[in-house]
Amino acid sequence: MTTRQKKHLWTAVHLLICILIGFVMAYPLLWMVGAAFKQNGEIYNNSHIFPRGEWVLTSWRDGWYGVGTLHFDTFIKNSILVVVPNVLFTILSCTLTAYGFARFRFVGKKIFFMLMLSLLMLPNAVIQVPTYILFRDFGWLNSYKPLIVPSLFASSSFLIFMLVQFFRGIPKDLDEAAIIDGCSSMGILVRILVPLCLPAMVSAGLFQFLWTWNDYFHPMLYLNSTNLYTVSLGLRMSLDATTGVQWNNIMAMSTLSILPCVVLFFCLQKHFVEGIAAGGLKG
Amino acid sequence: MTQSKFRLFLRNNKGFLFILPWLIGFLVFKMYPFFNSLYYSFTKYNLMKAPAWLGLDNYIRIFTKDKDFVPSLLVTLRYVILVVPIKLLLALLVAMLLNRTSWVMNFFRTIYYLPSIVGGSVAVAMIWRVLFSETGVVNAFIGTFGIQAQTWLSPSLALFTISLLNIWTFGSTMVLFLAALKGIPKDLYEAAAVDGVPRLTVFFRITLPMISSIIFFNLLMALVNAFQEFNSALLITGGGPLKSTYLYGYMLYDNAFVSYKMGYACAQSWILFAIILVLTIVIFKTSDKWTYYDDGGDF
Amino acid sequence: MKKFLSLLLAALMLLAVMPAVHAEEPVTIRFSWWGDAVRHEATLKAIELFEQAYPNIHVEAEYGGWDGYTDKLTTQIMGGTAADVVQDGGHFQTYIIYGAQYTDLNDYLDIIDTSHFSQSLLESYCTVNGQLISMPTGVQAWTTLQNTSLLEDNGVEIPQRWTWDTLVEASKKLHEADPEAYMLNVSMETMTNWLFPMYIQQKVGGTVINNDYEMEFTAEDLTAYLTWLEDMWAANGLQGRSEQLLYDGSPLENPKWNGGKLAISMCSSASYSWYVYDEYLKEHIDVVDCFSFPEGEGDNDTIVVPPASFYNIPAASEHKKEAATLINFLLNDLDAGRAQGTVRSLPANSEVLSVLQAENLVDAGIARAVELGSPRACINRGTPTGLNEVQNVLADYIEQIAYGQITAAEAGPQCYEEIQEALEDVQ
Repeated sequence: MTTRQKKHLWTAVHLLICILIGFVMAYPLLWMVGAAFKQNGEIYNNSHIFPRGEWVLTSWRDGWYGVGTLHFDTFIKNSILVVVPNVLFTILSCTLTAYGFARFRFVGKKIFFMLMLSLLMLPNAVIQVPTYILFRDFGWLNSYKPLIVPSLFASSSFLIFMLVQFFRGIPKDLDEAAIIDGCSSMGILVRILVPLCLPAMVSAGLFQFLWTWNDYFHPMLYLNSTNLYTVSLGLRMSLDATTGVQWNNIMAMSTLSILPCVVLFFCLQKHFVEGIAAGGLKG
Repeated sequence: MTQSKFRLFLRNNKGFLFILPWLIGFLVFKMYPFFNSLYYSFTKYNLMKAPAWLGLDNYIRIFTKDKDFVPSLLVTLRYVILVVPIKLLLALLVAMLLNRTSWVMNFFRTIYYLPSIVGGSVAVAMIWRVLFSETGVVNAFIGTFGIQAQTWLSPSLALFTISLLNIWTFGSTMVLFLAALKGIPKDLYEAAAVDGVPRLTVFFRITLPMISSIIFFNLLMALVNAFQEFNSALLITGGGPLKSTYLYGYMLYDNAFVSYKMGYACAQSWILFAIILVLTIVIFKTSDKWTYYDDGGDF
Repeated sequence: MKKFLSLLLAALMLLAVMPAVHAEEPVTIRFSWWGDAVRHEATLKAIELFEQAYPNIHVEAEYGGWDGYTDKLTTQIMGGTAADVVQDGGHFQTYIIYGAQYTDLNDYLDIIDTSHFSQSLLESYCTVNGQLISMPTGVQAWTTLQNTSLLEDNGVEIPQRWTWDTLVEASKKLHEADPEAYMLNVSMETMTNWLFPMYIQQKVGGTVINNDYEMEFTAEDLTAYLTWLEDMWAANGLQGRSEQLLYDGSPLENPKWNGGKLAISMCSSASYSWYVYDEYLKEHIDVVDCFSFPEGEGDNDTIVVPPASFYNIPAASEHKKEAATLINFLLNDLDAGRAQGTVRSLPANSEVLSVLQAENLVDAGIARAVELGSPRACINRGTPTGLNEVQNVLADYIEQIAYGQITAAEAGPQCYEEIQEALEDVQ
């Protein structure tokens, strides 16, 4: 076998592996889409993608119009109102904080860093009630404030720690060179660290988008009025385990609600691999 | 402190200004709930009546009388040991597989990330039930390889099955590996290619060290999350059968919001906290030996 | 246009009749409930009628699915931020054990008319320590849904009335004839929270665990129940626990039920809309007349008919009067009754019920279920029976029996002792 043939073979094997794993990974989503076209009773016992019986085409419309005067467009609009500011604020505040931890020495740094990480280690179940009381005392219940304001203050320890790890991967010589060129601390962050860590920044934004978009628990706890409901609340609005559930409608709207996440990921993912000038700058 | 001294302090502690958003957020939003839960752990508190001081009673009870504590901790440990290595390894392998620019790879990256998106969906419990039922597609699939149909939620398999649910959402871990792989300077590989270094050596000598800081991060986060996991148990198994999936996080939730034993749940939380903290510190200490930072390790 | 005019006229008349109400300041009250789409639509309709009748009271409807409803209600009750009227699925009794405050509705009997409600119902289910804490949204019964053709096709004789023993016998026959088929479709909750009290109540004829946290049954009674479960598993009347477990949250979504391989399901009449969306099920399963649940022999064949859910006014409410007005309207107004139909099972208000029946607005199945159940409705099983601690102990032992790790004869006394300990702990 020539090297060229070998290479072709390797490419084919590579592709085959990708397709195989890909099918396993995509199956649940495909099933979900298929379920939207199944009759309700069939959903429970048909684990194949395509409906056995008649194709149901009404789930999308019925799911969209939902209950009462509220339609799915309200939920989508509300979710955007929560998610967009939340993601922007989170990236901003977490980047600043991560920069502080990654590049500076200051009094009590180790203690603060440990404290920041500690916040990840205490289960939510026990923090939730005092947090609720706190927001109640602020008068923030039944508004988006509990879902947005904390993001201004770097509330995600996960993302801070993640960005710290990536910032630490950038050689300090670059900072020092920039300082000699007259760059301020802020300038180093904006001109050197952020562009070099673009994949990490994109991932951070993407993760935060996904978590906030999918989050059911916090909106459920803090929002009372149905006209404030986000997509995740809207999806579960008519889900009552003790009565009948129109699963095909829910599957249709579920599919619709994850679509923005899929599209966003697809559009942003080139940042994870395609090189920018960074490669040459580094090392 | 006089003004000039304050200025001097700020000049020497510039980083302080940058972490200020976090610090304010911590003082305003996090500190009270955080330490309050520590206080509750020393009380009898059912959410409806004011907490009553108990001293160490909750802790003593957990270690001496609680029949669920040790088994649940062991189940959680098994879960962690099952999930963390497989998830990391899989994420890294797939990231390497996908780390190239082509339209096809863009497509596959998205496909592999799908479970992480669907994983938070309302439909996930339903999907899981349908796929893993007696006559579900998973049994049909392994049947084509001549493997006998399995009862996926039997006492011996249930923990493995809910581990699969977690492993299946390796997308985020994979994305971070991709981001890290991208940060490796190309000239390192070029130099290795010029010297004719074998692929495997390149992987162990260049790739792994260069992404070690992200391996470290992913490892720590996977551990922290696996220790606290309870959603899959809540949605699919209810902790059963025979408590084989009675994860620590689920036990906590059960105590706090179903039995209204918030004080007790807080004590259990702080025990879990201590366990994770010790583990984290150990990993941090050893990480000096195996992680490489471009900033010269100065932290 | 005509409709509009008549509405306008009605509104004007109302204004004339109730000048006092009209003069009051406009008030907004909050009303929270959970449910499915049908319940939401109907309740919104009733609220609309209410706002027409009481233009000074605006109702902020806070509704959603069941997921997290109790978590949120717990948090809200504790934080004093719950709505002015809350629908509660019976948790209120547990809450009160733990010290939560609800308004004593006895103080608002001038607003809430209870004359069409069974006083014994109000006493046994809505009264705690002499305080009327809640009003029942409806009465329900556990009903037996039966796949008659599955039984007939496999040559299983269907008795006039199932008893605990005939179920075991029929299970054997059914499974022999069709190895894929099982008799009973139950969840763990059915076994611990419904079948168990039902069985015990038939034995002792009264409460199961009384409000002083005392068990009113013996270890032998408990052993007898566990033995029945053991027999059912041995006779293949119940699916293996590993399969059953998957559908603990919603047994009616078990594919074996939907696929015609389970003969009998239990269902609350409050959940009767379970097949409304299910064309497939309607077509493939021969659904059922409603039965009351398997009774024992003898005189004590009581069954449980608790209210489906309750309306409560949290103590922290600032608009108790208006909240009481809303509760009264939802339960007593005939038009509101028509609008709501049976979305919270059969109305507990006899007048509303007779109107609904006269106008054919009652699902025949629900009506029959409650009709069969009511004469044999027993007194309250006792609030502590449903305590999570008790349920957990039972569930542990039942699961061990299911996997053959312990015999019912061994499990009975041990389980009894552990329930005792759990009850002492709660106190």
